[in-house]
Amino acid sequence: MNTNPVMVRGLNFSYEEEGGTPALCGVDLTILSGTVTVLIGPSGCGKTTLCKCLCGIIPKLIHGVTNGEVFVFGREIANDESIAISSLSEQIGLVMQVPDHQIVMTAVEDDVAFGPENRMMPPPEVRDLVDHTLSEMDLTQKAEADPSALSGGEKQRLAIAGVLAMGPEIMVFDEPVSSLDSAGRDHFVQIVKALKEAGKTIIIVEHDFEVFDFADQWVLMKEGRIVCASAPREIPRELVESELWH
Amino acid sequence: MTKKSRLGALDPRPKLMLMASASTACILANDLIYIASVLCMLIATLLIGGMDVRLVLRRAKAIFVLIAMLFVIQTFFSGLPYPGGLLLAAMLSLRLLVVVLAGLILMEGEVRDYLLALVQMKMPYTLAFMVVVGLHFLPILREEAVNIYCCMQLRGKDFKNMKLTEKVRAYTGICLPILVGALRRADEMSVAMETRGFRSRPSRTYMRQLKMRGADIALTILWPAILVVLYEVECVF
Ligand SMILES: Nc1ncnc2c1ncn2[C@@H]1O[C@H](COP(=O)(O)OP(=O)(O)O)[C@@H](O)[C@H]1O
Ligand SMILES: [Mg+2]
Repeated sequence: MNTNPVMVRGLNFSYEEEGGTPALCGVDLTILSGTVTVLIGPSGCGKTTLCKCLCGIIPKLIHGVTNGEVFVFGREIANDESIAISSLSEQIGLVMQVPDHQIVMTAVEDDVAFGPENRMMPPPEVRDLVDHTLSEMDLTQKAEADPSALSGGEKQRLAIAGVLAMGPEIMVFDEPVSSLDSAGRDHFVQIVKALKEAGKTIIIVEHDFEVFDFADQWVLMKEGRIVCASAPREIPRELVESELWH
Repeated sequence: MTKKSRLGALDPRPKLMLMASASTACILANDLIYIASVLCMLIATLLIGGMDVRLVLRRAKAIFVLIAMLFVIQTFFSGLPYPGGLLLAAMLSLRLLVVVLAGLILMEGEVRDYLLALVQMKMPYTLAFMVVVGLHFLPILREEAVNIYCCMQLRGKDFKNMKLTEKVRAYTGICLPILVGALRRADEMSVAMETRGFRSRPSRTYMRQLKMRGADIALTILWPAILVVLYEVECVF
């Protein structure tokens, strides 16, 4: 019955144990298989928090007060202690807003290989996959470099590469192009189109959302709530053009 | 990145073997000439290995000064009549030097290779990752310390003309944020590793594999062999 990639029901979350404004209030969201969803909203409205809920970092690693349900392929993850984040990673991948928080290895190619190795992919296959992903993200020249010596844009491309290499069914990108130049941004749009073509389910947080006019769903958020979620064409222009989102 | 020295290009395992055997031999041995000859061999290895001597001196300057101080203190305060104290002090200093230089040989090499070496030597991978992530952290922490130090100086803190108590307080002001930052980073790191499937399976694979080449095998066998032969020679004379 309900095997949508993502379904969120009445989700509330607040970082503080008591008092304070909640980061998410009564969020309901359904994401269909093979679709592209763009999360839009002013900074601090809870986009990153929602992304972390989708892949289980909240509430499994970041504690706070959580209410409601999050389903990934029909499996409730927010209240089930027995589901480990590392096992969820096979279904859902997250490119974090801050690449430094995500890069774990001491060489670029090793970092791309990290996910596939954890899933016990045979070494020759890992090698091919890594080479292919590096060239796709234009990092071949930097394969042996130390990630801490990369530029902001290169780190961001590495963070994307690390998740692409894992190839989960659902991919969440939290402001993935904020430090990329316009060519890099265009390239990312192409990657998203190709992923959609391949049947993946994509969720993107991005301020410059007009380039994702091909998305199946735009989700407008404000102060922890979803204001509107529907196809880009069906959202009233005056709502989209309100300065809140720009 | 600078070009790899000959030592840097070697497999990490012979280097670990060299470090372990040289240190053990010098700690067990009670003979000044033996320890001195091991030290000479070590220096020869460093030189043949193409290690940058100036870099070595700069990296380990503080340790060399410390060893020199220990030498002086031991010589004068051992309570032994001349030359007993001097001999004891020399032995201790040379031993320390051997350990430090062997450690420097280890530093010629990349963290990623040590991870593979530990795993291929059958260390459990979660433990190996902990060691290696820790090693990777050190330079980052050092960089942070330098940053904070510079920030404080830019804001008018004069570290040179300071009383001792003020100095202690200032350095606490540097170390505390670094410690907090390190804990936070370690936390972020473990989150990142989990979201990428670390420990989701009982075991994992490795894209690269280390292979021992001729020079690696030679070094692995040669060092312990020479240590033993030297010991035998010393015993004869
Ligand atoms: N680790 C945290 N601890 C406490 N509050 C946080 C934390 N992260 C985010 N917040 C708060 O939660 C709210 C939503 O933040 P976030 O989800 O990062 O917003 P966005 O990604 O939309 O900019 C903000 O008010 C922010 O201050
Ligand atoms: Mg954010």
